[in-house]
Amino acid sequence: MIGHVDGDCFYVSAERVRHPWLNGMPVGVIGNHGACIIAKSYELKAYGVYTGMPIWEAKEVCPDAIYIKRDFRLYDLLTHKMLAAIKSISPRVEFYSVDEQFFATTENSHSFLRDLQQTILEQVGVPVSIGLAHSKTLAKLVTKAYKPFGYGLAIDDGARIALLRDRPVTDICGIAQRNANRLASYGIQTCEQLANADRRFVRRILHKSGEDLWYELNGDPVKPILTKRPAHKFVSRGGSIGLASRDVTRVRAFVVRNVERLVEALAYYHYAANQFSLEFSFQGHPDRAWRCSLMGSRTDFESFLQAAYYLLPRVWQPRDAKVHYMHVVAGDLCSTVNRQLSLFDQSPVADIKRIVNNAVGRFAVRSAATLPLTDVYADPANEFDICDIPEKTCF
Amino acid sequence: MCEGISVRRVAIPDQLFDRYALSRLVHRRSNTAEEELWFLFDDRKLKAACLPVIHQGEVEIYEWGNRGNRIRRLPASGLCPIESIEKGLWRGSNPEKITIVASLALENGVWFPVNHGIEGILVRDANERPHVYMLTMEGTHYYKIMTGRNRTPVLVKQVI
Repeated sequence: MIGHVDGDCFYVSAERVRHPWLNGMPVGVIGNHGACIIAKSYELKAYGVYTGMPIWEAKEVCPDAIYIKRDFRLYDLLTHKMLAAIKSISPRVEFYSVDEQFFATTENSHSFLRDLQQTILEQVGVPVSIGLAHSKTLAKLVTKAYKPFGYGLAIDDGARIALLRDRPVTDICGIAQRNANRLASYGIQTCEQLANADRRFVRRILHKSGEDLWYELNGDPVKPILTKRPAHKFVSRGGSIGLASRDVTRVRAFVVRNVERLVEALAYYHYAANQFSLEFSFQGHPDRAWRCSLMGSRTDFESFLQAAYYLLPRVWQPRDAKVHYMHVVAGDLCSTVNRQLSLFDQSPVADIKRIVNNAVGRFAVRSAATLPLTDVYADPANEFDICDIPEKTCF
Repeated sequence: MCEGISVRRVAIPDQLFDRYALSRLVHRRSNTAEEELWFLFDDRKLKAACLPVIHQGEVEIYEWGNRGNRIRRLPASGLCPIESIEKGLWRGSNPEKITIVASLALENGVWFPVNHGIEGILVRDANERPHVYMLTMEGTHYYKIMTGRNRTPVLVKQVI
């Protein structure tokens, strides 16, 4: 059996651990730059506020709502407490995302699920919903069906069919709107219709990943519980730079900031990279991305920085375009354990920087090129982002 | 400007509740939410705006600033820019540092949590009656985006 635990409006619930008096109130958590709702309580959702809605629209819809600045350190702490609680009842647990976990179990009773739900509530303080089924896809659908703060099983065929009946295919993790539209053109709109379709047909339409879902919907588990994160194909850092900008020193400073974060992430996972990409999204202009070779397996900040500076004028076209989002991406990864060592390895400055930052605090020593971002570094909440929570198998 | 604050009902002693008839200020955000008291600067239910503060170790309710410019020698607002203290503009009023009790603050229609209170100053009018002004400072980039306002109340051990 596979269980799936999903925190109910996790970020809001985490904030309610810190401020229990927020229970029963409409609450929204605001994202990295103070503009958009990234999580909402059920009370706020009832007003029609959705994830991604700008706060200036949300406050008109629900003037009584309370808005909280995100705190990923708190969410990291609580997600690991949740993980520990689940590991106490199962030897095989997958850290799927910050608010979701899968686990293997031989138990299949309602009382087992109720006890687990209560244990997590008592030990972590966060309400969760739990689903149990023969596959990860089914377990996740069960959880969704019993949200919020519910639990359920779909272990016999009758329960499985009842779960899939009339449920839109977009409820399945892995089927987004584009694939749903393709299936709809063949008359497949519900999970039950997809499960009953011909497997070879599903494979032709949705390829191997769709075929896997077909097996999973029919109760045949093909997606294993990943107790260790699979190797990355890429590692990236970036996101919105706040107010879109064409100020070259500011944009450059954000590139350097993201390169520092990327190098840190590569060191954490023990990767070296052979390729580096820079991706920009502009206001009113198409996105652009360029890739270059790092001339060997590199881990050092200087190599990535030189690559970034080389790519910057090539990506930033037209030059008067306002940059809104950016990503720096390390590709063609290999383990630092097996890589060919360079004759010109990194300078001791990198080691000193790491030692000081480990002792004093992240970014205490950083590139001087990031000085135009004093406002970003002055805010301690910017020290830790969702991508800094390691080991998740999903985002 | 910060339009008001909210305090959990349980944070206000019962005797103050009765003395100042604070039941007029009670709000609930939903049927299952706990009671709060809303202290809004422009609340016309009150003759003068007021704020809960901690003064000499006790929770007290004092007049918030000088709404309507009723007191001639005090500024006709409820806010005190921290720069004006640094420039010595309040020196003649002998301002006393004080903490405003708040669970939430309201800025441009956005309510946000306050963890440890808001910094303020207490000054006295010619009749020795206390008036509280909320300290404000330039907001962070995040605060400006979140609220659409440039200045933030000075929060105790908290930055938004």
